[in-house]
Amino acid sequence: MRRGASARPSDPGVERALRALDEIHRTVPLETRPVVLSAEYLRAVAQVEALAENQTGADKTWVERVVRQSREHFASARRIR
Amino acid sequence: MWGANYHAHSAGVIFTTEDRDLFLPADADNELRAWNACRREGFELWSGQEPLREPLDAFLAEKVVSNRALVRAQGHDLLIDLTLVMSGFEFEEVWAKRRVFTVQGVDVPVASLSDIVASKAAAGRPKDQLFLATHEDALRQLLGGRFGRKT
Repeated sequence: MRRGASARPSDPGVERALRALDEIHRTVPLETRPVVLSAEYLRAVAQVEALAENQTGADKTWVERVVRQSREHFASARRIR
Repeated sequence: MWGANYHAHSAGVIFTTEDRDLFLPADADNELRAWNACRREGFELWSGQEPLREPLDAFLAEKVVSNRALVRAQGHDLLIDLTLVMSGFEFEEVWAKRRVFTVQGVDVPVASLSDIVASKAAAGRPKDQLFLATHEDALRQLLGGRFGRKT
């Protein structure tokens, strides 16, 4: 998978996702290899776990609503070219 | 025990996925109870490309558990993987660190986010690599300057 400079998105999140997809493409047939996580990312995960809304007893009904809406949104997507 | 989306603190960290993983202990009686519960609720059970063969009994549950085989429950526009494997972890250690969230009034045990992330890193399949890269980026954007800050 090769992407030209003109098609390169400026959004760093999209960039990272595309890099991951490039990596997947390069590793066909699909390879499994352990991932080393950065200390910074692991600290961020701990920060999220420590949030009040992520403690036992939290109401996560809204997550199901968002997942359902997201699935309906993508299910209605149509190829336009 | 369910997974990552329930740790979302914002819609920005929710992943749209085709299936859901329900991590079960390696216990044949429990496996059989899970199958029967799925059937009662109108789900079809599949193993690989074939329907799980009848009769659904203790013998079959023992075989599935001893092989750590995956059974998929399908129905109501849902795919639920009844999995007996979580890379890098035994059920009991994940269960000990679970959080119990509430969804529409029902208690839902969920693996800790750090266990989920560590398991995906250990599995290291391309889809795990994609999840980890995307999740890290979502947290970086949502936490901003607080991302990964040392306390």
